[in-house]
Amino acid sequence: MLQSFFDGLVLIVSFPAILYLFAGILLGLWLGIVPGLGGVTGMVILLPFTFGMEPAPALAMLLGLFAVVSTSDTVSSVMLGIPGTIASQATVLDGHQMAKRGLAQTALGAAFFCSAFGGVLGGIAMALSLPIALWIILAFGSPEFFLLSLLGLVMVGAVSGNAVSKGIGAAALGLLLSQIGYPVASSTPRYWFGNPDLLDGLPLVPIFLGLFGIPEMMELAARRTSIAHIGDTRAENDSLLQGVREAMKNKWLAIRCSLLGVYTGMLPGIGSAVVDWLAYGHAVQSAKDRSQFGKGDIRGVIGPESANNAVLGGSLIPTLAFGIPGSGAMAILLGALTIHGFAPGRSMLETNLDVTYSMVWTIIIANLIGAAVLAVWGRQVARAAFIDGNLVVPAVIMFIFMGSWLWQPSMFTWIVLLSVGLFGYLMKTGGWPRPPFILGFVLGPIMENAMSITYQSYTPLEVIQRPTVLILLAVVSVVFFLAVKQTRKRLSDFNIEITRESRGSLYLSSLMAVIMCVVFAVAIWLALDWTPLSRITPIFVGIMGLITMAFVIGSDFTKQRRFARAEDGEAGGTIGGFLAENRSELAIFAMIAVMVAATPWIGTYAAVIAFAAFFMKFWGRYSLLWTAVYSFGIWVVLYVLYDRMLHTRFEPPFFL
Amino acid sequence: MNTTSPLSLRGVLGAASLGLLLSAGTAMSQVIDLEGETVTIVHNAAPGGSTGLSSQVLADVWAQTMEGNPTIVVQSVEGGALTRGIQQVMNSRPDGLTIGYVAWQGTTRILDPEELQIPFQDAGIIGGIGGAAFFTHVDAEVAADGDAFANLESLRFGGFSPRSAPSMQMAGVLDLLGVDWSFVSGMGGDGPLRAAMERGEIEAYPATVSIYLQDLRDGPIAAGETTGIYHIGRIDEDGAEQPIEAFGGAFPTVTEYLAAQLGETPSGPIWDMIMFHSEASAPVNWLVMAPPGTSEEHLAMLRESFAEAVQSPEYLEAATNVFGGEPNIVLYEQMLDIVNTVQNTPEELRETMRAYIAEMEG
Repeated sequence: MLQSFFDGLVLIVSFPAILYLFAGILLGLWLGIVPGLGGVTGMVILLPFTFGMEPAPALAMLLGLFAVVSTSDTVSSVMLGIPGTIASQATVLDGHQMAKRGLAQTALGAAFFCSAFGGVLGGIAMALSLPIALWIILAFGSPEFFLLSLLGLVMVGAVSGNAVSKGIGAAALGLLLSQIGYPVASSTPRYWFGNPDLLDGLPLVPIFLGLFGIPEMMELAARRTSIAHIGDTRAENDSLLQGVREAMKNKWLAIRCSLLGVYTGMLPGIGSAVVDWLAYGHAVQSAKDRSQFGKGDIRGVIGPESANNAVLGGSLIPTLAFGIPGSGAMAILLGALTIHGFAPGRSMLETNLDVTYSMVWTIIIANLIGAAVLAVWGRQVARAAFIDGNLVVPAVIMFIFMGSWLWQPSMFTWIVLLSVGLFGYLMKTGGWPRPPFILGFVLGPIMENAMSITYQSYTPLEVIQRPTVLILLAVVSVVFFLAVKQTRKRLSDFNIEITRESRGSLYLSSLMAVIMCVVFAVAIWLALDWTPLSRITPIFVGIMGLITMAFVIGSDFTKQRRFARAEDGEAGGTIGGFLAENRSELAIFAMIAVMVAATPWIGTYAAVIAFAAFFMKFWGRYSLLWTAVYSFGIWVVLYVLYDRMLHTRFEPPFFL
Repeated sequence: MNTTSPLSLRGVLGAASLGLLLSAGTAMSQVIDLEGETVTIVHNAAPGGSTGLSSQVLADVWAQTMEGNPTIVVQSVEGGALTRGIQQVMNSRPDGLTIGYVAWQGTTRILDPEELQIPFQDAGIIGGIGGAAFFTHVDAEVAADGDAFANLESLRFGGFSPRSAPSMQMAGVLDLLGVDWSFVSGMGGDGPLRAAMERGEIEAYPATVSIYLQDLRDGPIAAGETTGIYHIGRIDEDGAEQPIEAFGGAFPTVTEYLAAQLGETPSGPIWDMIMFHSEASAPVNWLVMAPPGTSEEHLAMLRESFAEAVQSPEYLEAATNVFGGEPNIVLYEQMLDIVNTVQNTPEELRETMRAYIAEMEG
């Protein structure tokens, strides 16, 4: 085995594999920075080129690319408040707040260091776990998967801050929306209303880009400032090295979250979409002082960033050992292995062990180089926080919309993105935490799949006789108990969404709760006639949602009365004042909505470029020359990147 | 001063329109010049899987045989339970720049609601590719051989969904043998199914020839941990089932197996359902088609160049890597027959399939 380990290193460092590895790393770094692109896009582009290559360079390039995406995606999360990829959603919460406070370099320094650390640890853990990989995978059956998903859901409490009932309600809504489309055990689609676009459920990429990206851009444009609003200077002590020091200070958190990443990665389907939230939840739960979470706590960056790079090492194990790709990227890697004549299974752990170890080395080397490159470049990146926001918004809106379009090229995708964007803004304004919604949406199908297989394959007695089930039940119970205890003691005294509570925000919150009540009630009613396995989850989620909404409405009502009793008549502001406060954001949203509405008429090119030009000229008040130059730049990106390189099929104008 | 009268303007416009129509008509009836163009092969699955890989392999070779040698790129348009990619091709302009390589699931798609039905007969059918042949893979502790399998009292087997043809066929075989069965859905692909069997969540499943050759034959089957019972063969022109060569005679065809176990050649509605899937579903996983309205001359060029491409050693070698065995090539005439057979499926057969789906859904 040791011989194979070093043979694997030789495969990677020999020429030309090392060159391809570097090429993959550079491409991966770039793909991670641009919101909506990500590693899967890169692997799709590169895969055809690898058909004629030797296996080692081909795998080095693909894996090298993918390994560093979850390092560079931090840049977008921290600087723009938009997750670069799905793996860096949780970093947005505190990372972006740090950038707003002028601490972008510190956040990036900690993130790059932890990403490299997590990635290397993930690679090493993968190498060490190979001898017991089959045992680990086989030990986790469907009942265990269900409990692990449940554990993820229990984290809702930790990522809800002091708005626990709204957090549970948001998670319930996420779970309910994840039920759209074909269920696991039935051939009758749910909640599709005759629209084929809904048959496979709502697409994930527009959901997370819309939920975080659009509200952030609406606010940035409305603020008419740079991302950092502390003036044109950095906060004291802001440096990459300071970030590294902070990471070192929290080394045990980084180690725990890295290991969490490795072992979550081993569980197909759970992986990168959830692990950063699990790590964030763990960072919150294990902290003594939680007051700064959501406002720019460095631990909110260290936890997720340590975990999301470690996932890759773990996720390779089921891919190689069983041919179970837990994610889109792993499916592509599996395809590359197949093309080169490697079959997943025992051969990858026996006769082709050197190739397997070459992947371990690729992960380790790529993570170290990726973090080093970004660290060198980090100072310049951090300066972006001081660029005029009006220059940032149109370009980022283009990347968000085109990034979503890339995954599913249809107007339906943009409508989902736009709707979720508005919903995200309303959630933020109404004090509803957004992370639980994503957790529910991602975990819903995993939970239902595991529950369905468990129901079909096991008797109740068989389930409770499994030692791993008993251990996980104990873990879930302890975590749940601690979460309840902390909530009761009001220890979670921190806001995930920084919202000034006012009469207007409370009315908005109550209105959302009432609408959600209707949604949950209708969802239950529609599900009544379905087969048992199809209806159990939506009905259960619907009932939970209704109960939670009652709490939310009651709580909002109590707060309204408190404002009414206050001697100061202006306490809590007025409804008119609230609307006036949000007027600019809604104007930006209207501009984006017009762009979407115009696309089927004038085509993608014209709509996106017209939005950019209109925004620059009339909102940013730039000169005609600047507007023209900027709009030309948008056209170049659309044409070169999305049209020629990614072969995106644009919406044509109606007359073509 | 404007000297053009409205009448003469109308006349000029009319003549221009007629000219445009005529020239368009002429263009439509010719092979479209694809030199220097980029043709997009649209597939309807996620990137990276066998659909994505095999379409890429085809694109690389077809670019060399298609007239004008255009650049061919592959685009994944997934979603809508495979309908989105198909619809994209069906709604594309017949300008030669779009070709579909779609997982069509024809034999079960006909059971879909009306709004999800696809009029495949309207598309410009070019051919088809089949990469998956299935055999029944069983835990050896449950049934060590075919006789033990036939004498089982009950069996819990797994599959992706109740609508998948191999799962439906397996349920049908078990019914013919008189074995009580239950179905566990939700496991897509050989890897998850095999892991589920090793964990004891299922006792058997329909496995592909690809994974048989790559791993199972020399792995768990050679070690006696699992076994194969029968395989679904290829239906020849006379309607008889022929063995799939890639299995190397390791297991009988389902016809041979059932005849041996039942003492007679099986018949009846269940057997008709099994054979229907073998005849219409098994040979073709991917339908290759052009948008409706593509000119016959252009279609003829596409069919000819497709046939040349898929029978070339270069394609066969690359495709064998992807599928783990040589793909089944279906040329235009046969594909047209299959599409017509599927579109004209008798109502009794549809009812049998619906009954199976309902039973598998529990």
